[in-house]
Amino acid sequence: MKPPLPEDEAMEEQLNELQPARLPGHLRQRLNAARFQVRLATSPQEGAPHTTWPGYPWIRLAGWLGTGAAAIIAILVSLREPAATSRSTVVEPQDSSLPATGPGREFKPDTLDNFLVAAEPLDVVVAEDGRPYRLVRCTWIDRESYRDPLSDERVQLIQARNQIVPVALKFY
Amino acid sequence: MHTTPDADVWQAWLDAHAPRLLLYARQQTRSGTDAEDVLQESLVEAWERAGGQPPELPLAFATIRRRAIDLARSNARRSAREQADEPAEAWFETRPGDAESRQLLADAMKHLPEAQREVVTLKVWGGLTFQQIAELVGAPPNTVASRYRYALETLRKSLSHVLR
Repeated sequence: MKPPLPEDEAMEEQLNELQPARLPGHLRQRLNAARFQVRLATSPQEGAPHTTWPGYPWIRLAGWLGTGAAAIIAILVSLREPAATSRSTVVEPQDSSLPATGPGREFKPDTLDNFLVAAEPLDVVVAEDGRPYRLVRCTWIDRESYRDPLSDERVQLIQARNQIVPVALKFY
Repeated sequence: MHTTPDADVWQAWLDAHAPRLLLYARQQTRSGTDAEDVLQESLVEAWERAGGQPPELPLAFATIRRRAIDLARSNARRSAREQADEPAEAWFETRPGDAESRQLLADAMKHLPEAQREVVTLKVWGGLTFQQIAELVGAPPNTVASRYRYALETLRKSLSHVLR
């Protein structure tokens, strides 16, 4: 590639004088709490207990979701099943990346649906600005579908996700 | 049994990189709320992919980009009015007494074409190479380099036009 021009270097120096805005207090608290959302890989035998939902053996749900949330998932999946004429395969996610593809195949993101299935209040934290926030653990079910544009084959990924959201509290 | 990343390591990584990642998330999304959601989810995913260790910045930026695209698809029906009601956040730190040119430059960044602005952000504040940026955005390295130069030229013209 060509070496940078002197005027480009001068412009870069001016750009480097700009500093990205700092994180607002509530976002910093939220990102600090997000550390607990990181789930590091464990084998099924060592990790949290999994449950398979009757009729959908390909759905493996973490035990903490509970029967109620699992029922909601099954109902939502059955209501949103694709038309009988189209093929769809539901796979278990190995991780949160795209599903495995074979040689010459490339699945592209098609649709994304998010379902809030639970909201659990956690502790109250005080942000840098001195305001109290209630942390709420929201449990989502994400349903991502991917489509091979060449074969029109579709693959679905269903994943549970936790999100910790700070809710500002009123105080007097 | 699940474990979580070390608290000190996590905090140090946030202190070093969160502002630039937030800058990129704000540019890739349509609202401050979306940017914060995307940033949080992307950090969790990136750390998981890195096995609980600090992720490389290209992975973090790529995760933000992909999640922002996914969110835009799912929010396609969200009304423009809802998005316009959210106040715009400042992308850069501003201090009283800042040179006029610095404030104008921050404003000019917002008016760059998206593809050019993305390259400038990833290069200048992300610290990525043209090769890394090319892999992230899915364009040839020479195209990325050209976008960068065009962006700098546009910014130069913006400043010279106003400060004349």
